[in-house]
Amino acid sequence: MSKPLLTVSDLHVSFMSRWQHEPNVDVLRGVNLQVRRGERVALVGESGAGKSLLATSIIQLFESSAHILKGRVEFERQELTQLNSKQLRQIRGRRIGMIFQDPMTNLNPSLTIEQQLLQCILSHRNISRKEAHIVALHKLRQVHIPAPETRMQQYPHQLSAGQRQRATIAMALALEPALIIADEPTSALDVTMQAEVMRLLSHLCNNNGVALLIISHDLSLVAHASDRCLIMYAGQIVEQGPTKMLINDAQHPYTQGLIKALPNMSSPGQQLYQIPGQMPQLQELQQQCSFAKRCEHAEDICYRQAPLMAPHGTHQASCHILARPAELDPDTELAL
Amino acid sequence: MRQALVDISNLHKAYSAPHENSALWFRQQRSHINAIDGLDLAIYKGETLCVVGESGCGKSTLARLVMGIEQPDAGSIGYEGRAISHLSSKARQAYRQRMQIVFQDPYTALNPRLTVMHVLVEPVMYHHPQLDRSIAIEQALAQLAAVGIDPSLAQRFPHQLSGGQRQRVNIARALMVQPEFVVADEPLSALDVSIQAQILNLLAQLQQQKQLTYLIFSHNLAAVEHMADRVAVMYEGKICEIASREQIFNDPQHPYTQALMAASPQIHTPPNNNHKLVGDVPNRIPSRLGCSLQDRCPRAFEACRHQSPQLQEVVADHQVACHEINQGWR
Repeated sequence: MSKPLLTVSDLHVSFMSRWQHEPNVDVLRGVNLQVRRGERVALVGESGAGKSLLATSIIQLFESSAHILKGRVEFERQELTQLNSKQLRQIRGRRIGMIFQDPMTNLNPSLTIEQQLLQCILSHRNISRKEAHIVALHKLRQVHIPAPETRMQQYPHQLSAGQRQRATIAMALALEPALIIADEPTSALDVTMQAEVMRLLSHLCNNNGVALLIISHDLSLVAHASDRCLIMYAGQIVEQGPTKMLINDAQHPYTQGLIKALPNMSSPGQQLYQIPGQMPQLQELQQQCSFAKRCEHAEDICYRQAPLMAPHGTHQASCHILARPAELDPDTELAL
Repeated sequence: MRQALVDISNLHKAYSAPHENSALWFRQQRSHINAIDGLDLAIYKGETLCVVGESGCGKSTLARLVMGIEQPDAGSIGYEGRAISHLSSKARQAYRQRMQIVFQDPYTALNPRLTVMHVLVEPVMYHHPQLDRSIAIEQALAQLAAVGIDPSLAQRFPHQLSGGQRQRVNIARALMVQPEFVVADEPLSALDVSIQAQILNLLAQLQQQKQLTYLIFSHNLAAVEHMADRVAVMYEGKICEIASREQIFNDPQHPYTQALMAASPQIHTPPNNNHKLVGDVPNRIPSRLGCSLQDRCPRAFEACRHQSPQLQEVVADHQVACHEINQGWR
């Protein structure tokens, strides 16, 4: 096993409140995450779980009211939380590329695709404009943009949504980073384009040995596009493991609920499974399992103590009930 | 033959747009984009018809035309046998109450300055000005309970609600005037997977209780498979395939339908790359000859370049517009 490229350990990020009487909101509450070289890792969760904040915390691109309380972000043997803004700029884009959700707001509408690509390449690499132009053209070809020479001279609004998203992928790839973070890369796209972009991302990462951290709320989308999968709920990772095993053998009640809620998991016309309730207010959760209120199996201990990540089945999950398998199995209970 | 509740025939709607390659706005040639280009569709009473298609295929335009938010250029929309597409605003009033729409984005569809209660009471008071307000308020509270929202949230503003709650309020708002026909334009696309399940269940439950007829636009095939009775596939302003849910999902005929199915992510089966379309959704070019899918279709042949295919029945109640299938080239 190769040494992890990115290691996030016990990361706590909190939003500072503007007013004295309001408490700070702890959004990330002890997140652990590892990405190895060339590995495709998926981060899945509902909106409000803190997925995007985790992504932006890694390269500290979050808004000024957020700040890292404690924890470490180690990337290529560097501790990112200790760097100043100048050193961080050397990492962002160059070593860690980022693809955002909406390509229309992510690209600058008043610059051509070429200007944006060159800006990105020239600010990091000491090469001539001509060479940079060749690199940019090559990257656009890699992401299968038709007629890249003409597309380069165009503005973002002249491209279709799929092409725009591919242009942002080209931009993220332009400096040959070791890690690409893709935050909901396909949620602004149609199904056909979505499949195309996912295929492209997977393919590029395989070929160039780039590690990929995909953030999504759709488990079926990442099911075949990632090697490892982490399920995030209310600012914590609740289950993690190799994607196939995690989907076929989901342990945590939340993950099971996410899978059961998919429309194609029940026959047409049948009532769909729905996870009761909704994500709790983050201020309320201090010393309890964050999923306890919505969990069918919740017991006293779930409200008193936060569970820890431990191996269950083929992978890891954090759940008190799983930690005591005897109680789930009536036969063993009788024997005791 | 069943009586269609809504009968759309040969509908056309074009928007004018600047020509693609003209840079100077004062010299721009205006060209037309045919958002809806000769569309026929019948919706029967009590069914759920889902229309699927990529963005830009004219789904939202069709929804707006059906609701009378916009006027068609040609063709007609009939409601219970009466043409309603060119009625005056006043004559249309009676139909506005019978058909309602749920918009795509629950965040922008609600007025941020009105409380939930206000949003719900307003349409009732509009259609029944002589009604006592307290009765409308009672109806609103009952409707909130019916869509699964705690009536104590009635005094909240939209920003104080979660996405799923907002979509429920939207649905409640549409149902306040007791419609029989509900159009939903991408009701799920702004929601999380777990919330999607709640809204799908809610829609199904309301349909059963109130015998509603649904016209639902979506690009989420998994959700469509779950709720539709019939499915129409739309491409470039036309219907290219229409059939029952079983037919469409078990035996898709049109190359575009096959590509859509293959692209839809499935949790247990890996993606299928056999039915791939080439290229992108085109920027619509006006009045071109031939099939609109010709540039992206892997199986396009000569006839596709010259003549636009018409919907033809392949099996009972399964119509496809494709030269290859209609001429028996397979």
